[in-house]
Amino acid sequence: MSRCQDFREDLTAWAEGQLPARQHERVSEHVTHCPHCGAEANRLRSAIAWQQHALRAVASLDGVDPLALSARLRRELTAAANDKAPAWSLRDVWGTMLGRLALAGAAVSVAAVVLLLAIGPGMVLMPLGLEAPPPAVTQQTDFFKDYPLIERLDVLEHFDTVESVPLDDDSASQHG
Amino acid sequence: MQRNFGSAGAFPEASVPLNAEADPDVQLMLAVQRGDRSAFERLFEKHVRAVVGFAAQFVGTRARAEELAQDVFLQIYRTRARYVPSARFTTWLYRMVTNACLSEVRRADHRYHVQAGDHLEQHGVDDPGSIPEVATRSSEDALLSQETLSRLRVVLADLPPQQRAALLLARLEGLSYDEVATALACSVSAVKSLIHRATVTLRDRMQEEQN
Repeated sequence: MSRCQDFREDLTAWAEGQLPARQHERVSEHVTHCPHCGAEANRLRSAIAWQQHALRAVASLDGVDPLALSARLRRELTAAANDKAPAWSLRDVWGTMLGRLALAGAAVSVAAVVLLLAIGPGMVLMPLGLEAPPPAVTQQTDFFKDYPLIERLDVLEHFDTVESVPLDDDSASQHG
Repeated sequence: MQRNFGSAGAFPEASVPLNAEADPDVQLMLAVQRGDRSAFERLFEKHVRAVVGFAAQFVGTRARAEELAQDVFLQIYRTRARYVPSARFTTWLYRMVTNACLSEVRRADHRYHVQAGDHLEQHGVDDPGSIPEVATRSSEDALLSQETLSRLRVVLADLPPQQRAALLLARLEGLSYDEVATALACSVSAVKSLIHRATVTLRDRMQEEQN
């Protein structure tokens, strides 16, 4: 009896031809010689055939319209494509960063040009030593000995921290 | 006494790897992967009816089964780039469908008991006294009474979801035990046990009902 139990769970797979060949042969041999398992195998075969047939009928549904469902799916796909966030790749991110940096650089350049045109190039270039002072300054050096300081104060006149400019007592008393 | 049960066409001992690319549906799926939307629509139209019929055995209503089928095909389209043709398309498809069905059953702790109300919802029949018509594919199907089919639905719904899935994949979709194992992500040995138990339960319960 215990031998029959060993084969019992294989009977359905055997009846459906789903066992490996060697195992199939072993079950065939047992079923051929065991009336109990032979009868059970026959009942299973009948059940399998009936179930195949009946389950098809159970699962077949009237009115499933693939075209209608396909249209719905198409709408979903289109909506999904519209909602979909852009797929970010490292290359895209890098490209975008470079683009933004270039844009920022261009904006700064334009702002600098506008500033230069508004205040005059000398206001910026002279304190930086990039533009020569007026001829009078170079000709009357004693009179204009504090010219660099005056230029610097002129540039900084709009700042609140003028006192941070390094002034020695002499130059401060002269201007005062 | 010796009986001749005949050979049922056993599988070879060493399973031969399936040439998945010979499957025309795999070719269609590869075309989908290359961006061919019409190939996707052909796959959908070819399989959606069977998928809805399968899913309805888990989710109870046809409307929900149709939604689930659409979700699965949407998922297939979205993940097409990752598709690798390692099995028949049907095996791959039903793996996704089965996962979706079992998730639905688990998520909602769904117990699908076929009752008159469910039938009415499935078939859109307003008269509660009427028995909904089930599509018949052949004259053989006509031999199955509506009462028998209703009982079968109830018994099927009472099967544990894994057994139900294995049974339907094998009997309804014609998947081999190997393919069912792939679809359910379990061993062939487990599939053998699941299908055997489901077959016996279904047979015995139907006999009890008849008696």
